[in-house]
Amino acid sequence: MAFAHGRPVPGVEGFYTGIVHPLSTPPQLLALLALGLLLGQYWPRKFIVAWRAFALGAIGGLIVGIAGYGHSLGERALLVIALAASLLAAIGPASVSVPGTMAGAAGFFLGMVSTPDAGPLGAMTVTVIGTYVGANLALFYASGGIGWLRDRFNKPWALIGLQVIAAWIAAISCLMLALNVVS
Amino acid sequence: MAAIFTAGIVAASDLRARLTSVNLPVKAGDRWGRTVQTLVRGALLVALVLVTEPALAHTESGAINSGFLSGFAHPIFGWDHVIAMVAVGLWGAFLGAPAIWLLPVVFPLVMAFGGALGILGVPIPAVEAGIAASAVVLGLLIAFKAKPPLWIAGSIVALFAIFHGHAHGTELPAAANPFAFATGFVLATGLLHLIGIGFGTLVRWPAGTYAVRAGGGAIALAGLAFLFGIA
Repeated sequence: MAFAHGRPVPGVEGFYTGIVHPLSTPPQLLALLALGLLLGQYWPRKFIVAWRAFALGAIGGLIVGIAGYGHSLGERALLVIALAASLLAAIGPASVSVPGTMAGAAGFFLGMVSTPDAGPLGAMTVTVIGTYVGANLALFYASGGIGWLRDRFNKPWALIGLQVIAAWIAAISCLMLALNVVS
Repeated sequence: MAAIFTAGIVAASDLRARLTSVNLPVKAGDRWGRTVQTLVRGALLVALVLVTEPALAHTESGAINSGFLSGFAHPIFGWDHVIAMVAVGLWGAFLGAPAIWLLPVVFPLVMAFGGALGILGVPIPAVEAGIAASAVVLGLLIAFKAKPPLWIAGSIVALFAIFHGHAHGTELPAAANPFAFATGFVLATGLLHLIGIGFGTLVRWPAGTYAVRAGGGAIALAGLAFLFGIA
């Protein structure tokens, strides 16, 4: 980033690092993509309900993650959620309570695996805030993008294309989950 | 900089013109025909992007690139895989809606399940024979214009998808970057289905139907050659 002045706000680098943290590993990326494809079907009204669950879950997950619990469990759980969400997106719309529950669980496990390494409290706090903002923005833009595509190209080919992409993401998630189990 | 920008715009316009010139023989008002045409154009664009060699200032392309390329190449350079994938798309187009999109959705899902079995070390007997048999059976179904109920068609495709997935899955743990490898081979599989669907849209015309059925026969013969070790 090109700063006009050489003295950026202290700790701001940690914030930017935190923003991209929820997108840094395949399980995180797959879970967000799958959830975006699924929640995009409910854009914009019902999406807000699921997004609230995600935001609340992420707070819980970040607290548990900072306490040092379940990083490896979180990655596996994210792959399970990615598989379930993309399967649901490939098959068709369901009652919003199912994606809402998935979004809450995804937020929790995404927060759990996205915590920074131990360090000074101030720097960690800034990074965690960045992570929280980044995770929520990623879900918002993924779902909003899919919702926009569905509205803008409300044609059979667009809807079929999204279902096929969801099936591909489910396939990749399934393989990554198997690899995670054997590793 | 302006010259590079202008050249980019010209190249993009040229690419767009070439893609839109890919016209399948679709009748006016034929919604499914236009849908398939759009999907085929999209597949061509993705294929162009994927096969184009990037101009890299540094030659170390890294594990992600090599993992993706080896995964992408895995179904494409295995002819037994190629003909079976194309056959799935071809048969889907032959069966019409909703099978035309259901089969390419079912196949990668069940293929991934087979892949997971391969990764977990769960043995499946006669994987190579199953892959060759998939080409024989799907080719014959196309050649004889078989149109079973959707659930039977889905079950047949799903059964063979397990063999294909298992073969991919056993090679996955050895890949430099398993995520990139998995992404590459799932994408390649989907594109091969779309190629089959594109060819399969010829069934809208009598001559095209014969061409597609002949294609099915050729696929079955190739499958027999793989089955008996001739090819």
